[in-house]
Amino acid sequence: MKTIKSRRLQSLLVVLLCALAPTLSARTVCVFSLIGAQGDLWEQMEDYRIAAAGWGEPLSLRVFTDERVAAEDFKAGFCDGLMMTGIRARQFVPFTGSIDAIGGLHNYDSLQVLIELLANPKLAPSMRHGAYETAGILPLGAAYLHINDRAINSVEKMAGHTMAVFDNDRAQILMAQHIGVRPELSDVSNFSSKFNNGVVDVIAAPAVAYMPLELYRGVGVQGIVVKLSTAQLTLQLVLRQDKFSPEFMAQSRRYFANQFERAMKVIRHAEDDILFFYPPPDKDRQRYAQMMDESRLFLIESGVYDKDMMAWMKKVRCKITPSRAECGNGRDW
Amino acid sequence: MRAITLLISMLLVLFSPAQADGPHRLMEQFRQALQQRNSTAVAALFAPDASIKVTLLLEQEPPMVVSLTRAEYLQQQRALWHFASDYTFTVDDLETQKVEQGWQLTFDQKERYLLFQEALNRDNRITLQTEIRDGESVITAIHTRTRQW
Repeated sequence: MKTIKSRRLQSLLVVLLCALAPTLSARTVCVFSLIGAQGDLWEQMEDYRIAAAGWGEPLSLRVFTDERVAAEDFKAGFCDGLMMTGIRARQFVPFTGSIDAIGGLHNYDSLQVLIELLANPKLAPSMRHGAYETAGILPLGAAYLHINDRAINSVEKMAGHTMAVFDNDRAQILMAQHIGVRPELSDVSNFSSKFNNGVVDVIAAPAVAYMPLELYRGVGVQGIVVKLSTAQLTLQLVLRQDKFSPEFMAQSRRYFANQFERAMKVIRHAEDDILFFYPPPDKDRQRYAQMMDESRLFLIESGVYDKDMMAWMKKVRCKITPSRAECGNGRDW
Repeated sequence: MRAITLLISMLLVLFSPAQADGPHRLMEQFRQALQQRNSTAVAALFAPDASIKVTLLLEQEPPMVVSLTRAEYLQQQRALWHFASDYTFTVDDLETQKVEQGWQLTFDQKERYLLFQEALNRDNRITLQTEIRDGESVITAIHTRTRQW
């Protein structure tokens, strides 16, 4: 009787081990998602997990609603990879983390060209930095200025007003100082409440944040959302190099490049919801464009952005819009 | 024979419904589309290359002039209807003038929205430029001067 019980137990253990084996060997990819394990990003990552399993790489996903904690866990080795904002990714891979540069890319066509370019296997060495490698880039949407008073309708008029800037982005802090705006250090978890409660007058945010964070409350009936891309924000998957093969990294980059349109559908839908979403006043359009260019150059010279990426981005800007004044100026970025 | 055909063609163009109704038919379509908050119907009234200029009159600042694409203009109208819990408007003082390729319509529009439990009032002086395209009158330009409070 005891032998039969023992055999049954052994069989059960074998079955359990077989069932758990893929999970035990699966790499953990952490995902920063403000809304947790739901929504478009989570669905995209679930689809990625299925695709990766098809390439022979089982993955398990772990969600984080706090990006700072996710990044710390990633550094500590609790995650083998992390899907995070490009701004956060800059500390891991400065090359791709500089895609989100202020004034870097002006439209979605440029971003798509750049992401396609970066999925080219010839650029794989540039995607690595120390222990980390970028294995996928998705668009998160252009960052637009949300302002609670439409009388603040020029770059000059922003001076003296308060703007929420992310404490993990040196670029935003320097930029705010550069244009004379008072920076209010914030993070993803509190910048919207500061804006909606009138603590700050200006924030920069992508359209996908507009409805979930109720940014229309901060804009109110007197404000405006300036329809001018101040930066092309991205989500970037950074993996630990020693945990994945170079072939997997290449497949992964190709996979995400192919997901561009799917991500853009979500962004376009979100942009359609924005109220008081106007381009800059006609007389100030040139000045806004000039501010973006000046800011980018100032931040490159301040050492915030990766210069190789800045050179690629200039090539992309000039490929998409060859008539840009900068295209014949002989500068690298 | 050719001269008669040409004459008939000219008469047909001159007395086609779009011409015969002049600007009033289009104005009524515009008004109805707004009343029904029908963004598809509003969109159908605008030519694909329509140019839009909005002048916002600010209290203590010079007027702010913003040029919009057709898509941007329509998006704003949709967003306003989406967020507004109440929307009423009146149209008055319509002036029409025949211009080279169509009509110029100028009128006052007073709009009232209830947004985020606050009233948004807009007094607009609107000028529409129309043209006949494919036998239909379409808006090719709109300029609105808006005072908002």
